[in-house]
Amino acid sequence: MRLLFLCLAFLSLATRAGGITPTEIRVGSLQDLSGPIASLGVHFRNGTQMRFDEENARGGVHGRQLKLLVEDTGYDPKRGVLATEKLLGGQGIFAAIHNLGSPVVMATMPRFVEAGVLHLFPGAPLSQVYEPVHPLKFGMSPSYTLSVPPGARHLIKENGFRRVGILYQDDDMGREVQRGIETLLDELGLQWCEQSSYKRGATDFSSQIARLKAAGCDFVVLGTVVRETIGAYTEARRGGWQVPMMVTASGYTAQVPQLGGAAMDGLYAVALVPQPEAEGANRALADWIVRYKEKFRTEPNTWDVYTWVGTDLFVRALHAAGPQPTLQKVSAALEQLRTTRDFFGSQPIAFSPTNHLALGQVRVAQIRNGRWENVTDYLPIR
Amino acid sequence: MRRFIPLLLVLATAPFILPTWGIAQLGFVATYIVAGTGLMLLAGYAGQLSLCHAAFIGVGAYTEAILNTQGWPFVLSMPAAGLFAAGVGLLAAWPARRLSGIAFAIATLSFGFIVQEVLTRWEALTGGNAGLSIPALDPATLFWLAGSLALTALWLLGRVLDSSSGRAWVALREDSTAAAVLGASSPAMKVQALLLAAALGGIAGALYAHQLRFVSPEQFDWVMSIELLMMLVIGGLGTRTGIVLGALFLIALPQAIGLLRDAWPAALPPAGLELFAFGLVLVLSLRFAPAGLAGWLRSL
Repeated sequence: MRLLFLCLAFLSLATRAGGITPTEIRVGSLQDLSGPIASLGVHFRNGTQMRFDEENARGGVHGRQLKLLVEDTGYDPKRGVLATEKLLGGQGIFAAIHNLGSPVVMATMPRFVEAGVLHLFPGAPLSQVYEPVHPLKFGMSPSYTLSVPPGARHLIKENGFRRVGILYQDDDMGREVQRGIETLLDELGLQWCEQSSYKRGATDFSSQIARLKAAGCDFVVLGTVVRETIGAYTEARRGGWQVPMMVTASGYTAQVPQLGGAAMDGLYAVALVPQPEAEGANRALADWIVRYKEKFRTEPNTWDVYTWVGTDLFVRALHAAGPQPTLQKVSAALEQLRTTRDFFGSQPIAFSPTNHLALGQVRVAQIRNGRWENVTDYLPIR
Repeated sequence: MRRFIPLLLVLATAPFILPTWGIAQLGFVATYIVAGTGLMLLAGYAGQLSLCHAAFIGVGAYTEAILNTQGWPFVLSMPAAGLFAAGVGLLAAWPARRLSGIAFAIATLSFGFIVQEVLTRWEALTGGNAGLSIPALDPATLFWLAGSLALTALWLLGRVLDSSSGRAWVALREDSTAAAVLGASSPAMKVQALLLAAALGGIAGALYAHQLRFVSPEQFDWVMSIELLMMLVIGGLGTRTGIVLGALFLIALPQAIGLLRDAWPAALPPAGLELFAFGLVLVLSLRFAPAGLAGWLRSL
């Protein structure tokens, strides 16, 4: 019996030995494919799969095919934990990439790291995913506290706004936006004109907008997601209030102008990665969009670009790590990585031994004639 | 007692033969059995539709997270989580003790909102929306702990139901006026049932916190309360077997959803598929197996 247990333990360690075989590299990903943010999860999966398929079509990395193992969490941390154990214990993985959802990421990240798995570019704007620096942890997007102020600073200085208000979702995301803008106002020597919040799931913003309007705000920051952005912005415009508004990167999606229609024109947003627009696209981007649509039978959006770019960083690091990649080699390769602007127009990325955050800059974009257009070039977040 | 033998066998052998994933799955099943036992007592036997069970689990989870990070061993922090949740249950029971039916359900639902709001607002203690992390326990130890507590909870439920209090709860469910005539005070019975349910919820919360190693207020919302009620209805209200079958079903359902998702038409939005599947199963269960899985098994 003891011998049997020893054999099982050995087998278990062997399957956990990095998720790398001579023919493939296994990579896990926790996505919401059936829960409240499944519309996001599908694009997270597609963008990652797209980049893996491109690399596999070229023969893989040093002869190894990249295999993506996607587990559905339904945005439920409990299912996230179970899916993590499945990925770690079942087939074994080398890295976990683009895990989606802050509660899922917070519950699962320690498990991946303790198991010696690279935890790469989760879809959770939390500083904990890249700070303090750890060789196995690399983040993609900065926290809202960091990403929103540069866009707001630019617009406030450019337009001479003095009376800044905020409408934010009363949760962690909204509070982070509020804290970020508060720090910015302190820096600029300004006071809040008005602050208003709403409960997650709210659909009526008339009282909040009326309050901001009555206070005489000349600029409003929206700590909102998609539906709430449309609701708040259209409510203001319906009442004839043409105040400039800027939403976080969560609102920088093609859905906002699509669902909100012409009323959304003029809305500003903080942008981390570009929208894949077919109109005016360069040849490489146009070709990518066509291939994406053929493959997934749907339009690509900014989250496909976000995950494609993240996956590309991983693939580059795997190549740089050589034919016998180890966690240490790939982690070191990521820290040495320097990218330039790609065919999407993504920002240059530079990790270092003291910086494991990929997107260190933001752009300001604005909806013009139903499309997002860039207003600024990339602005550093710190 | 004989019916516990298969469960005892699973408890004793699972960590040696199952992968970590399987142990984690069974650990969650055991945790839901502990929570479900409390709710079954209240809803299945005493007939009180409670919609704040997630709040008790949340209170237990936060108590465990806070005490554990302060160095309390779990042998002390877990009972403390149960006791504190029972204390919070007393707060819920006080206004709800004279209510019944839909009014009781609404009162408990509102109480659940209040607890979630406190967990969110008391940032200095709970970390607010950012949540709290909790140190890890060895997976096998955690499984044995959860399994032992689940078996103890089921055994205790059987003992309680055989007592005069248990019979009074069933009488309260069947006819509260007749129960009062026979000397079973309805408000007192409700308070007792809620206290026990809350204590078991708190202990389940402590286990849940260790299994997740991260707690945040949004995890303990009304959806979780409804999920637990659905678990009992699908398993079979008013039976201990129903608790076990319901918990197994609740943890197994996501796997089934995974299969359904692969066959899901691309044209339909995937968001909400889980709730849709839950609703569908509940409707089919009520239509074709109104006594739940336990009743269906008995009829075979």
